[in-house]
Amino acid sequence: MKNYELIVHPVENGTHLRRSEIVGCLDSHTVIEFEKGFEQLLADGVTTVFLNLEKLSYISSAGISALMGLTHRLRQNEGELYLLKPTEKVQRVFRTLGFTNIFRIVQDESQLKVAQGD
Amino acid sequence: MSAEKQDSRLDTLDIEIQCPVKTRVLGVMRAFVSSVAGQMGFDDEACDQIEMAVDEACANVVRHAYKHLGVSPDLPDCDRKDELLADCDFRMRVAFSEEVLEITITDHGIGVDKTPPGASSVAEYESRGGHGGLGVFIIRNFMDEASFESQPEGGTKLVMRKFLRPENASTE
Repeated sequence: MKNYELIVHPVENGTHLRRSEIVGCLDSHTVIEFEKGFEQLLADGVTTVFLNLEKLSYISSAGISALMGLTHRLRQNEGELYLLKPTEKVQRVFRTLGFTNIFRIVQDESQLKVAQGD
Repeated sequence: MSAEKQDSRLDTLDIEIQCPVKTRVLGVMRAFVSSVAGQMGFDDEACDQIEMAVDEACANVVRHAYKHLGVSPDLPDCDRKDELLADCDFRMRVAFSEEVLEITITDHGIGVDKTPPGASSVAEYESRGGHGGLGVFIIRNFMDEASFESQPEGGTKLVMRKFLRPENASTE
């Protein structure tokens, strides 16, 4: 009963950038798998991640903590985690708790083109 | 009115569920309380807040209450004592009337000496490096009332309340 999948799209332009998406929920049950998925990307030298949240149905503090950890590690390498199109439910959690000032949340992929042009 | 004593207004439905301390129960608990809250008449935002508070409370029990026995998903495989899983459980009681939803989560784990230290703000949580305290912060901020207490026989009881009309919440 694991309602979770992390999809990482193939390299498009440069090895430092990845587009990815989460399908399902990010909670204490699924977060370990999420963190393992991103460890490999970091080991491969990825510094900028576009994470599509359109199909993220639920996020808990464990999921938020994992996104915080990933954000900090990418920024240490002058990169960034872009959270693309969170659902209204997830966006409301970020907004209510004050994470919209911490995460880089975007509603379209225009920033992706900027990153690809780096 | 404090959250320690049972609310006298809860004179209608009362449901109790016994749960194993496994993270895979979290989705089931969320779906259940969200459904109850929706049927009571809470709006979508309030339902989401109740769902998240319950998830955080249950996750705390699963991760921390029986860690001293070797039962926790946070432990490395070599330290886990899965054979003790059958002895470790918790109960979630959901009681609701026309005006208040009361959720009580009880375990018989290691207990807490006092109210668990949660972050007082997201800024404090961030300053901790994003480690610990956010779950309790969410419980306190998303529910109208929340109280933790140690059980005389061991373990912890958390009582949370959410009012359909928040003005009915205690100001104590």
